[in-house]
Amino acid sequence: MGVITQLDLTPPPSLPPPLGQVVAEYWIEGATAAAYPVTAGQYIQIVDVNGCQCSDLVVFTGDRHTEELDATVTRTLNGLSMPVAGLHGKYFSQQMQPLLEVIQDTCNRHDQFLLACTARYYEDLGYPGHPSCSDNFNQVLRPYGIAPRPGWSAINFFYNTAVDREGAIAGTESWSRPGDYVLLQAQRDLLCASSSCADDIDPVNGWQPTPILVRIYEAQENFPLAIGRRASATAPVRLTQPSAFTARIQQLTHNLVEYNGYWVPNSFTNRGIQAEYWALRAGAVLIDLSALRKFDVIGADAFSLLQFSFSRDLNKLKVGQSAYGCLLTPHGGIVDDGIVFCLSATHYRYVGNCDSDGEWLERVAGQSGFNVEIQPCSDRLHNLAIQGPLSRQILRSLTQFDPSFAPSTIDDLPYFHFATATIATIPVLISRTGYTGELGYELFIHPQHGAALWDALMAAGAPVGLQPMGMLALDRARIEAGLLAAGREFDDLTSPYQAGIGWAVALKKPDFIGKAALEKIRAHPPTVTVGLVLDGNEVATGGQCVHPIAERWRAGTITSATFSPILNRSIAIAQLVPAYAELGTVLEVGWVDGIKRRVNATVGSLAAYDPTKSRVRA
Amino acid sequence: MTDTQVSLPPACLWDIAGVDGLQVMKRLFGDRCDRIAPFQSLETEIDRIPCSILRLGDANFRLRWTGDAAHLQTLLTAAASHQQVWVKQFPWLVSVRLPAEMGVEQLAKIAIAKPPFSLPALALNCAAPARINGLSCLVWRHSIQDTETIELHTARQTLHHLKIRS
Repeated sequence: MGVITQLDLTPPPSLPPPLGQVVAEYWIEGATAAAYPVTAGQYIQIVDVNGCQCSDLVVFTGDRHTEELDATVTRTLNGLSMPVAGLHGKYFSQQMQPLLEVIQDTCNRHDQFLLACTARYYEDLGYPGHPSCSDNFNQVLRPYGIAPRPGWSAINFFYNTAVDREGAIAGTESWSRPGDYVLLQAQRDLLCASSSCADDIDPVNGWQPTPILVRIYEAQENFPLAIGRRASATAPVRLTQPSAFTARIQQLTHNLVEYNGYWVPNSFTNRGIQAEYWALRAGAVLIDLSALRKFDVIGADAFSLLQFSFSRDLNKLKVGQSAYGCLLTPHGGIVDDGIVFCLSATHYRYVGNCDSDGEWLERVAGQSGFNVEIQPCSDRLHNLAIQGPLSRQILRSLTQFDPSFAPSTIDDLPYFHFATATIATIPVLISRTGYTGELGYELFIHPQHGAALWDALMAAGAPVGLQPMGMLALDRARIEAGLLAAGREFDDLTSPYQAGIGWAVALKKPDFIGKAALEKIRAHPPTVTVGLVLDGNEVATGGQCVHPIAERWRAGTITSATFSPILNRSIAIAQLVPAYAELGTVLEVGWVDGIKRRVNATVGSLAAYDPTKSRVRA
Repeated sequence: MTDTQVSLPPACLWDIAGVDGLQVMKRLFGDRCDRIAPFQSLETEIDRIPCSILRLGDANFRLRWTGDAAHLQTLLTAAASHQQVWVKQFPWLVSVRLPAEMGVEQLAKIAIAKPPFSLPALALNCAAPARINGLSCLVWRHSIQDTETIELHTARQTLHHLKIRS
């Protein structure tokens, strides 16, 4: 029988400090359960004390607890296998009423496909009489007049399940670490029951059930929405953060999503992806790209470290110049793509996508004995991109360049050059770079100036229709421009020659990470990246297969796709075996199961829009 | 709290959807159709009679036109010929034009939009899925012959349950 006690023990070292004023606390010993009431607005924090321990949750509301949380309704209304903090973060009842909202989650791996563990499960595996979460729920819910069930449909927090391609639901060791938690807010008065899962006959709880702690906080608390991520095995959990511009953005849209640890806009209220896209192509837009990660590389060997780990030859890079390329693995895979800025002979800055880039550079420096310091500076450098053919015009009257840099006006700043300056008296680093295929600039500032910079630019740009742009339109623009996205076009198993940026590999450099492997791959890359123009108007999705005409076997895979408004065509980026990558080759994109229906597609340049890059260089 | 009489103009709602939905609309009404995002609208004319076009998805559109239904059907059918689209009039869908004195702010007191939509912030030529007392409706703020209008699209069977509070 479950043992419920008010917590009066010294918390173990892994126990995270309370998030606010705790009004009730429930310590659930391993393999037991507890029922507890929660009033509307209160917060429920479910803490995995020792890590690797699942905690199932059942929730009731209404008269005599007749309305209950429904996992299928929840999946359906959210369009997600599990709610996540943000727009699609609510758990619903069978009456489609919200019961709980996810406020914070530091684990991000849970289950709501399976029942809480049942006596039947253990019986079938040769353990008749074994305690189960469902039986434990039956016991703690009996005093509330809730009839027992052989198996309870539950939200199984910290339970690691996945559905494989054949449809099998596999459950294995939990992702959760000591102190990981889920913070929920009750949308109505609720009766809840939480378990510490009793399963000790397989790895889901690490073979040993351990305690779960439930804390209740008052409705007056104001906990921010956040998703916890870890950049590496040793990194602490990092909660989603606002950028320097989020406060302004939230005045213009509620459609924010978590991207790379920041809240970013998908699109803007009453504007939408079309208006934002066309503003980019015909006017100018502002894009919050603060989620990029920045690292200062400082020291006598700063150049040597980057020359050794970055794909481009930085020998010719002068102060005020930057270069796009990638960090490489020894086997020639792409660790990350990014831009190196030369601030001085002993000071470079790498701007990429991943927190782990810094750790990688540290490790390379240590192994190679480079005298260099890697300083993460993402927290003090947030960046706003102003992109579009009118971006220069908007900046012209606002910008005063630092005399120590060559350009005296914005018109003198060449492509892939940067300078320090002020915009409306705000100190900025202006870089003539972007991710849109249009003329544009990226403005790096201290976060304290974020609102002021946003306001100054929006005011200056208003006469020419400057608009904010969200990630949906940005993705469309970058696919048109043939620009790569991490996780779509490349990862650490993809070489630059496969990803379409072979031009960014300086094989003539005497030595750099991955050189030997890349020399071989260059001659015979297993795949190359191309653009496709599809017949018809359907838009493909990443992962769809590309076939030679009338063949069952594959010639490649689509990595990204969109409908190009300016070309009025369905386009895609694909990775193909070289034999089918010649310009003009006609192939088939498999739809549905890949063989039921095919749509012709013609191989084109990687950038379907402005392939000569005339617009970014204008 | 009183029920307000709502006007029921003889609006004709036509829905067009399918893989080629956008191309059919561009053929009929020009490139403007791809300048609006889902849940945005534009105003145009067919035979000098005002026509409102609401985009509901990448390839889904709804027309509101009060002219001769047979004529519009002919136009749409011709444009849809050899295209992967359907053209339908839903018998269960009705349009309610709210009284002129009822602004979007007032409607927002009784209607809840599905996030991330927001009724108080709903701009002209925009729409939002919403619920009034749990009943589903599509709120569409647009102008008909230069008169700003809030139009609700709802199921016919729902109509008499909708209590519009003035």
